[in-house]
Amino acid sequence: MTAYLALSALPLYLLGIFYTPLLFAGALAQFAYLLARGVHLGRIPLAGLHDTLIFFSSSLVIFSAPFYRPMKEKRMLFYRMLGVSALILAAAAQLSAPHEGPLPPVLDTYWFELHVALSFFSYALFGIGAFIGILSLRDESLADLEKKQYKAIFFGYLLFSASMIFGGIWAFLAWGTYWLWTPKELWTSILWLFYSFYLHARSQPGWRGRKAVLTGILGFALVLFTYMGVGLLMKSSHSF
Amino acid sequence: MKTALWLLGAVILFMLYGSIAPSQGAMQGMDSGPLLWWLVAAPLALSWWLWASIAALALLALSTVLCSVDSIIKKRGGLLLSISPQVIHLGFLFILLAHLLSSVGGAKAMGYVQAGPEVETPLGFNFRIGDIEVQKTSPDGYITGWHAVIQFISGGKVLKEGLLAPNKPAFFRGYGFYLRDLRPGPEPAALIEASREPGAPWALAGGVLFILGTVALVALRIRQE
Repeated sequence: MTAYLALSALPLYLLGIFYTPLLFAGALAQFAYLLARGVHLGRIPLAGLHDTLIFFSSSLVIFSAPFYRPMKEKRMLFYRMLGVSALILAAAAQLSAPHEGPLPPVLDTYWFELHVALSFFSYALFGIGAFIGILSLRDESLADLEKKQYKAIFFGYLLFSASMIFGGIWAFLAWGTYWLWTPKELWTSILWLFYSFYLHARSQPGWRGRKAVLTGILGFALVLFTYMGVGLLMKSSHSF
Repeated sequence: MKTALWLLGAVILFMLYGSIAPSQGAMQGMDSGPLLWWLVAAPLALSWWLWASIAALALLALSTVLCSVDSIIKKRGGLLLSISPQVIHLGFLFILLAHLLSSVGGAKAMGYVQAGPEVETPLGFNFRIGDIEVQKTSPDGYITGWHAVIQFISGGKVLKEGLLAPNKPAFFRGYGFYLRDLRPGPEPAALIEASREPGAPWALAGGVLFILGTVALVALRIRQE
């Protein structure tokens, strides 16, 4: 029965590409699905591709809400891009089997849940920043959109930094070290350094504008590789 | 600032190489002890990217200090706006210091221990693991947790007792003791890891400073923009 909630998000996202409020209905359906799964499993469902893809797509839509009004005449295009992305992520989630049953004991901690939830919130904000950036590239009002991209990315950077720190605390309590040398940790650090680079570069007069926009877009490509590429192509402590 | 950007770019490129290098499997050995041991023992062809990253990070740390000093002298904007980036920089420097301390002074050892007998260590004290309790779901039999009592002993006297479980280490005289895994059987054994991470308090302090500074800066900059 709960599976229908996740499936119902697909047509809602599809129609939401043309009528924005339905995107939020889709995100709510996914949220309800995760809530129902959480109650059934007795834990926050954040393990495996199925759960995280649903979490990612709903976060993408939910975190776009503060940008709904400020996007003004660009709103429709922005939400079309966002809707297509949320739809792809939600559809991909259906191709991956949900992780049923209890988690390995080492994942049974609030630090893990905070670490993962904040990671996906930040990924969503980096994605929103990239979409705003793409829109700004073909627009005369680049400066205004670029500021919005900066806000999304900077807030995402805060959540991402918090996620890394919570991950370090969890790793210290679980494995006796706050750092493990695996490709996932390296790519996470690369991502964090990359957005540190973006924030520092943007404070330079020569970087504000097109260069900053392109850097913000490139950052989201790194996000997608860190999330999916590393997990699928490289061996890591993050494969449970 | 331009120097910092070049150095950040360099660290990113070196780490990118390290993550996709054909000898990626060699990374496994990097967690088995202090990083410095691995760096000294590993052939340069395998470890050059890490040496290069460390060199670039050392220069980045220097650049961060100089940038912060310059900002404090020039004092742009309000008090909070001029202080918060320096708090972030201090947090970053603490985190780098943490890695340096752990890479040089860290220690780690692991082994299976059966419940009952006293385990001798070269640390100036011994320890003993009590009965190992395993929690399982019913009727599926999934293992959902395990725990065991650990006693720290010196001269035949129990100095401290603690409970070990996943994500719940016990600490004694600067060492953390972790219950990493279980070996089932008629006489189950616990995989115990003892580790020393001298950088951990610095990493935590650095993380807290970094977040506090970033929260303040995000609030100020988003309003400013």
